[in-house]
Amino acid sequence: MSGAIVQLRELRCHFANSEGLLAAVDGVNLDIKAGEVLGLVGESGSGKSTLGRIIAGLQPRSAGDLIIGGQTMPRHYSRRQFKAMSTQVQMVFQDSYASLNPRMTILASLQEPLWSQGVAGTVARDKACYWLERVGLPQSAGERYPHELSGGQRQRIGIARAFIAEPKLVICDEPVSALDVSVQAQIINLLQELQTEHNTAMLFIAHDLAVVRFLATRTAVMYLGEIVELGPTPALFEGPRHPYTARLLAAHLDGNIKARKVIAGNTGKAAGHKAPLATDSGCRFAPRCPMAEPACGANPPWLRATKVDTEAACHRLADVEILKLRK
Amino acid sequence: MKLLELDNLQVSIGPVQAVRDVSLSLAPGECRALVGESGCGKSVTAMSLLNLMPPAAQTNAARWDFAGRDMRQLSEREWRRIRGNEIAMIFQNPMTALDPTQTIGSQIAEPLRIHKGLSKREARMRAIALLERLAIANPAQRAAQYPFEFSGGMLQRAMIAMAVVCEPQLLIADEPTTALDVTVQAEVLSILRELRESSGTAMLFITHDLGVVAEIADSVSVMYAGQTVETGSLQDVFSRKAHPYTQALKRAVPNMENPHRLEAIAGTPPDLRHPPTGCGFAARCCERMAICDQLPPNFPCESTAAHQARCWLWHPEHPARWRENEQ
Amino acid sequence: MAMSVFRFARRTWASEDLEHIAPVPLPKMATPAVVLSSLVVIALLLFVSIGPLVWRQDPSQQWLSQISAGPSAPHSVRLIRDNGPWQPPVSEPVQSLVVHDANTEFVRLQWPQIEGVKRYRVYRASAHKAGLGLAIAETDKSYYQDQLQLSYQIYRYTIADADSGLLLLAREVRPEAAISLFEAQLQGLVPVGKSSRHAKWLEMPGHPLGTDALGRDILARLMAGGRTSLFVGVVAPLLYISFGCIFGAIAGLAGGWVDQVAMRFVDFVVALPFLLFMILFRVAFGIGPGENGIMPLIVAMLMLSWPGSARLIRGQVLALRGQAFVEAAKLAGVSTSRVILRHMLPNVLPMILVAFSFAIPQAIFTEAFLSFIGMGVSPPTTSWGALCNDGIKTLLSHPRQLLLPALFISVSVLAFNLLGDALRDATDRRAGVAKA
Repeated sequence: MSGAIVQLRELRCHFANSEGLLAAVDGVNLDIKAGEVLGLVGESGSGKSTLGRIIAGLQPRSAGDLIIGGQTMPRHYSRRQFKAMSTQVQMVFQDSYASLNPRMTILASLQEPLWSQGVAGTVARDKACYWLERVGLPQSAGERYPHELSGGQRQRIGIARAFIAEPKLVICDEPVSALDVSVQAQIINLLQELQTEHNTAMLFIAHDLAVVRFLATRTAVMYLGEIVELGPTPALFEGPRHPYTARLLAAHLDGNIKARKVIAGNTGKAAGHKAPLATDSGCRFAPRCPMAEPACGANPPWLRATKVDTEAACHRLADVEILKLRK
Repeated sequence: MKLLELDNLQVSIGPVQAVRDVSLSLAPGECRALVGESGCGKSVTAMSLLNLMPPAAQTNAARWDFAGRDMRQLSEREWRRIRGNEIAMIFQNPMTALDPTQTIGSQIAEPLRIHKGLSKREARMRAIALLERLAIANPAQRAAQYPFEFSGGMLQRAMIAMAVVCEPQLLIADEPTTALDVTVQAEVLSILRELRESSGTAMLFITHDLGVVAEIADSVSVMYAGQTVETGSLQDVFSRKAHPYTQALKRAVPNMENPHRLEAIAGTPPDLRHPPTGCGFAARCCERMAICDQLPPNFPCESTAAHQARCWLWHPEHPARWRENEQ
Repeated sequence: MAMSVFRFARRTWASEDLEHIAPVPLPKMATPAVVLSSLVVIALLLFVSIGPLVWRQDPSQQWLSQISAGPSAPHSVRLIRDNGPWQPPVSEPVQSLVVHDANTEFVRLQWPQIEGVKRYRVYRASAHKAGLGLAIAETDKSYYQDQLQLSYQIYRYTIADADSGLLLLAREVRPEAAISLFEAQLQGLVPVGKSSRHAKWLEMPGHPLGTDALGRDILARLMAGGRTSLFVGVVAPLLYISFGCIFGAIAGLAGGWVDQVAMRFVDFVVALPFLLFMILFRVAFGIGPGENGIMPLIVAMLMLSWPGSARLIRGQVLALRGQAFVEAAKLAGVSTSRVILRHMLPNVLPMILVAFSFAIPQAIFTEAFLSFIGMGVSPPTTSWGALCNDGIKTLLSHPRQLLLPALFISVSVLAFNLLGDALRDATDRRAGVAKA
């Protein structure tokens, strides 16, 4: 019941570019347990989307192990692998319009995962109609084409298509970022309902902290290809140990007019984005870290247990704990 | 004296009435947030304020005064002297808003050369000084670079520099932080606040994010389906209940401190090719009454003189008026 | 504004009001442009296929009596049995310039003897031109048979004194249409044989579009030429576009080194000069200058024109492979063939249609150009391009012979272009792509 369905061991994904070997994902160790919602937070360039795609099999990894359901997966998936995996791992994409074939009806798009499993025509159709209703769309939507629906409606179809195959894990790659606020709420509620109803594990990738706080039971924070903090959501959000997590939380604007966070003139020099190279040693956050020491740039940190049951990858964890105690 | 007075702005593009009735005012140095979801007409309002709508669009307003001048009958030549000089605009996506074939320095210097008649050298010096003030490291070197060499946050700073270089009286910001990471957003907002405090520029800040509004705005106008539905100071709009749409928006955003169940707003905004006869929000409103479908609430309605909401709940004859309720 | 309180009574909303999808009317495939251009294309195809069965004139039959003639209806002509030397019957003296017989084989004139005139000169001119015209004969007799290239128009004959130049008599004559027995037998209108019972009148077929410089019916030639032109114009692109698409699709789907090698090969083929290869193929096929050159033309087209569509389709396939819906299909475990058939092909088809619709007019033009310079078809096979080549020679005097085949080329090119364009628009709008 609480066994891990997905295990990542020292996962790496490197791209070759003009400067060297870009490490989009570097040495990630992670478990996703059955039935849990793991939130994956990070900013642009953190590698969270790449990680999601690697787990889905859409992106080949460069090194490390990916174990799904006890089986070690190969680096490049064959068609047979994808077919076997289609009942294990499914994905909800960010761009709802691009994720649907513009020349196929909605009903056909929904039934496709079932057809490839060999489900008979009428059974597949009934199931698709059921799911159409389950995600809150009228039956007439089935005969439409994607361009006739709004963004929120298309995203519901994407979710229905992911869940219709009854997978063990659904990877949601920023599913609500492109939607309006009121529509976001609809989609988030829907995801929560479906996840609880079917007890599906979910990897929820997002950059909006509030949504992750709302949905996820456990949260992992990524920075430039590495996981810097990991743990149960309430503990992580209330007592962040890694300086980057603290900065993220501090920067999140909550609509609290009584306590304003933004102070005029409180910005460091903007020196531009430095891409993480595979040959980098030491903590990647050190250039921006308020607690950085020369030793931080020498060796890469690893995830260590903190006093609040989370794990943080920081050389100066002990000092951070002391500071937290003092506050 | 008010810097900007806009009364009953109407903009239609072909069959679509993009803006049906927008009224807002700005005092010198005030920052007003224009809040709304996609399709409500806030970007069209911003473009109309700079007369940047395509010729096919029909614009008219009952009153449109800026710095004491009537803006309705200005010629294109006069507009060109105003844009970039007295009213400036920053856009959502800095990647596409900057010319990829010109250096950043020359783009920032351009308004100075056109409007203030500075020489090339002087303008360049001022541009570099401004970049320094906006906390960009190595400003002289950066000014000679092209946009593709900048990261997203730095590009946004460059665009802000280009907009404020002539010290305009009004700065219109069209969702400037929507495409940015959370930490970068904090920095950009900090810069904007600092600029306002030092030069007294008024700002019209367009966004859909209530958290950003709470941070930066002095007053708020909420738009829905082409109309302003609520206007007031930040305190009024956030603490008091006035318009059901604003309340629904607040409830739909996940809050970090109290993770309550998200209350989605069911349905979708109305089609502006066939505007509804009654109130635009009636179909989705939980306080809906019989009269809301029949007549649009176009009566003068105010709680205080400064806090107004376009809703039948505020009509003098309504038995249980809302103004007594605090959140 | 009077308002009753009950109007403020609270109302809840029904869920059916909310989640509705505005019906978007499906754009029709049969837009006016599609209908019009497909009608024109069908009309052209019928013209060249069924046409010769209806209009049964032989395109290579030469009507020597009707060279470069204008449009004519079927008419009867007199069959002239003898057109040798002639003398008027002696018994009848005449008082004025008398025409004994006037037809397009001969005009027989007789005039009275005038005192003091030893030699007569006969002038002939077109009736609508001023002046005496051509002096066609000098005779001391008072009769003359004019057999000099008579055509179906009104002539004015003038008799003058050869010595003094004094004009004596004049008359307007309209010769009627006639054909000699010899030519009739030559044309096969009259059976050759010794039968004395020949008809006096013959039916000559009409030429609705006239005849060319060798007397051949233009309408029949247009039909025959159309067959060649449309065959080359439709079949050749069909073959090479299909091949190019398959090649490009395989390269795009396979990726990696297969893709690289394929594209370098494409670059190589693009660099080959078309005309040179056409001539080389002609030589290789061993076709002499007077023989039919259709096969080398088609082979050269096939071998040299496919890279364009290959590159196009490869680019589109590469773009599609990265699309989210293809990835979603992969995740759903869809087999490769189904991904290609259901996901890639329908999204590539519009591009193929466009490529095709531009290739057809290009092929028609290429064939016309080559036949024009003599590198394409050779007589007796004809094509619209070859007809243009023939028509150039008589451009100044009879422009119709060039204009008609050129018109047909233009109309067919335009129709195919419009059809492809309109089809592409219609399929795009079904997928929600706005017309640019």
